[in-house]
Amino acid sequence: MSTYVPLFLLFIVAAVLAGALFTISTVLGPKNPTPEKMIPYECGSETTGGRFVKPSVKFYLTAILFVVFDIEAVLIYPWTVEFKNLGWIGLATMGSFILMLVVALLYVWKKGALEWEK
Amino acid sequence: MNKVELAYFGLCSLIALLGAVVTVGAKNPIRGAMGLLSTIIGIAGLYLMLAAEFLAAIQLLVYAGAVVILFLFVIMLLGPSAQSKRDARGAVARYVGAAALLVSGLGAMALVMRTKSVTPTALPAVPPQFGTIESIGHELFSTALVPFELSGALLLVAVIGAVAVARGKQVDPTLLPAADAKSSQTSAPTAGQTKEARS
Repeated sequence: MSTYVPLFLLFIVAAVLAGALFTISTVLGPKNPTPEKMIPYECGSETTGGRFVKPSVKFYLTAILFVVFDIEAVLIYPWTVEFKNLGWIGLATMGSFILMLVVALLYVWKKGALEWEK
Repeated sequence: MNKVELAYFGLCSLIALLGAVVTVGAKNPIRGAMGLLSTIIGIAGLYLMLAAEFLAAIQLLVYAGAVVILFLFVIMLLGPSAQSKRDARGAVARYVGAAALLVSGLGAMALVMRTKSVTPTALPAVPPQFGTIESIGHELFSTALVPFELSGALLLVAVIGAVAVARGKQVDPTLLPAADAKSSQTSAPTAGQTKEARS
C-alpha cells in the first residue's frame, strides 16, 4: 500500500494543477460576452439540426465486443505470469478457454459483425 | 488502522458514496454515468486498501475504462429519450421510501451494535504475496478451475447475445449510417421502431 504513495502524489498534483489552471483562467481571463459570441460555434458555419445526433448501433456492437475480449485478455494475463509453475494443466485449461474464445471470434467474423459497411 | 489509512478509507468511501447518490439521483443520464464512474474509482481505491492490487487495476481498466463507455454509448444511442421527464407523481412515496430505508438501516445497525458486544479487532496481516497477479494466477488454475472455464462459456454466450441483439436476423438497411443521418432529426430511436424496420 505504501508503495503507491508516489502514484497518489501524482494524482494530487494532477488534480491541483488542473483545478488551479481552470480557476486562474476564470479569475484572470477577460470576459466580454456578446450575443454573437454566445451562439454555438460549429466550424464558422450556421449550426443546423438538433442537438442530438443518433450514433449508429454498430458503435454499441463494437463496444460490447471490445468489453468481452478485454475481459478475456484480463483472464489470460495471470496465466502468462504463472506460466512456468502451472505447467501442462495450466496449458490445457487455457487451451480450452482460448478454444471458446476462438469459437466466439469465428462466430463474430462469420456474422460479419467485424465489418463496418455490411 | 492508523490516521493516514483512516483518511484514505474515508476519502475512497466518500467518492464511492457521492458517486452512488449522483448515479441514482441525476436527471441527466450522462451525469448518472459519470457518478457510476466515480463510484467505481472509489471502490478501486478500497480494493487497493484490501491488498487486492490486481483487482483494483482491473476495476479501473475494465469497469471504468470499458463498461462505463459502453453505458455512454447506450445513452447516446437512446438520445433525448434517455432523459427522464420531470414528474411530481409519486414524489412523496419516493421520499418516504428513502427515509424508511434510511431509518430501518440505521435502526438495524444500532440493534446489532447493542445486542452483540462489538469489540473492534484488527484484521490479521495478509501474507506478502496476497493479491498479486502470481497468487491470483495460482488460485485461478488450481481451486477456481471450473468457474474459470465457465466464465469462458459465459463470454461466448455474451458475444452471441450481443451480435443477435445488435444485428438481428438480416442486415437492416435503416441501421446504416446514411439512413441514420436522415432519421436522426425526426425522432429518437425506440426498440419498437427498430423491430418494425427489421421485420
